Amino acid sequence: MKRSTVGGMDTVIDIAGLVKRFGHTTALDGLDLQVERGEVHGFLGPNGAGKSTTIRVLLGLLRADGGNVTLFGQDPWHDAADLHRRLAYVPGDVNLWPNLSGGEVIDLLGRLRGGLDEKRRSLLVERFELDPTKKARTYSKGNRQKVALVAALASDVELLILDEPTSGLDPLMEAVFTDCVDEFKDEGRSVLLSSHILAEVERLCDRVSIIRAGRTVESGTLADLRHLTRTSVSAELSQAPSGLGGLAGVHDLAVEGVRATFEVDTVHLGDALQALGRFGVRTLTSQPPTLEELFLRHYGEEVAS
Amino acid sequence: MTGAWTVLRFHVRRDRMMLFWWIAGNVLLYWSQAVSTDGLYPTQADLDKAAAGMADNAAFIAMAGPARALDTLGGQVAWQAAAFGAIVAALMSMFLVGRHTRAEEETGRDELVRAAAIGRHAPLAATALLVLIADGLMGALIAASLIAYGLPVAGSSALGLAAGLTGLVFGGVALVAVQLVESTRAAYGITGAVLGVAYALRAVGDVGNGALSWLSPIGWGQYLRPYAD
Repeated sequence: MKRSTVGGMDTVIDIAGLVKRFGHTTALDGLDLQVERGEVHGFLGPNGAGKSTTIRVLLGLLRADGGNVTLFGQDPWHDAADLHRRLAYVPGDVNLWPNLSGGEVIDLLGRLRGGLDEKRRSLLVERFELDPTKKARTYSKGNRQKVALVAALASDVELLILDEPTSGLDPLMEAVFTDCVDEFKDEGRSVLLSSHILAEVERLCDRVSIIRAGRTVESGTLADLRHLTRTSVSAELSQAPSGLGGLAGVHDLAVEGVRATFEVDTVHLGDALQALGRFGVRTLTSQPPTLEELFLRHYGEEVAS
Repeated sequence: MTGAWTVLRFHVRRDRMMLFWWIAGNVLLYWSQAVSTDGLYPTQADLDKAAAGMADNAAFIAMAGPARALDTLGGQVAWQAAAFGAIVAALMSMFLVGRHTRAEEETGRDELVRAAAIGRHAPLAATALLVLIADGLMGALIAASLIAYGLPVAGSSALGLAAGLTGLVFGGVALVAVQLVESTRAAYGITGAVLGVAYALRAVGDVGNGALSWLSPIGWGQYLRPYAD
């Protein structure tokens, strides 16, 4: 990690060198994460990378073995009850109490957090098309998630911690969720969003931290991270190209007659296009790097094995 | 402890049916002994005769407890209900503790609660309070139902107190067990084993010289000697 941001007044979450061990397993091995006030911060990593463990440390559910963790400038273990008044948490796999209705659970979670905004509550129930009178045992995974989301979004907090919050929502409800997070952010509040849904992160997040095996491997804005990625280019030329393979930053070149496809490091894109131009470009498609590719480049080996 | 009260209210809301059945069931267990004894032995002569036959029966004593004041209605109720009623109270306490500690953790539901603005020890404190209230209520209602039936106040109170206190002891055992092991099942196993040993100790003790009964929480309840003095 090269970032040198010093946690100031506006740093909501500041984690430096966080270590968490479970017996002989090291779950977090010097993890860094900074979330500033008013930003939606994406928290990406494959399963088992330590996202949920980090969140549990932030929530004071686990005690850190090393490193520095502050939440609103306070110690998340020591000041847990105080800090929790200022944040709301939605787990990825929401389990509810089967004999309580959704509405009862929302009210309970609100009460435990120190109060709900009643108007916002009923508005959210409507937007998420949730029937709060049904018992939780009848809810689908998505409906259980809606209950936790409504409870979180209806409480007057400064920070939302969301651990893969939309894994059970259908696309329509995902759009509602996206709108709600946008509105939440527009009020100057902050969100830590751990997610596998890359389109969601691209749509929602101002900055992203990517973690792998308990360490932060990248952190920055999506634009920052795109510098590290490749653009895939596919071109049909008027004559068979030659010498493309020797260009800096070009990978996975495949030439078939007058068709050439390759990937190029985004910083070398201009050079590659100039080279293509010499052979007369008939058609050209280029795909901007998606977060998915960025992800695959970091974890490609793990995904393959 | 911040939030323990809110969590407790939530526990009661979740458990109200369960609590109703456990408590009503155990009250009925005691009360029905009074009704059935009255039906079987309508006169004092009948009671005297029955008592004489039971007092030396080692198998009955091993199963139920020391034979005391069996020639009274109260003595009969205490004898027939105390050991089993104590077990019911103990099981209720055990399930209440397991349900609100390790079981919540296993389902991940406790994360929702613990991420709220409550103290770290609030859920456990609320669970202990819930057990206290449930056993207290159970004991009080057992006593009240027997008093209402017409049994002596002191003996009925002692019998209810014995059930409630034995329930609390095993609630305590369960609270320790959930600290020792991670799974609800294992915690139930430990508490159940302690309960089994407690029952066996008092059985052996009651048949013998009584010394072993003093090692058993069920025995302690019976040594309150309800209706016997």
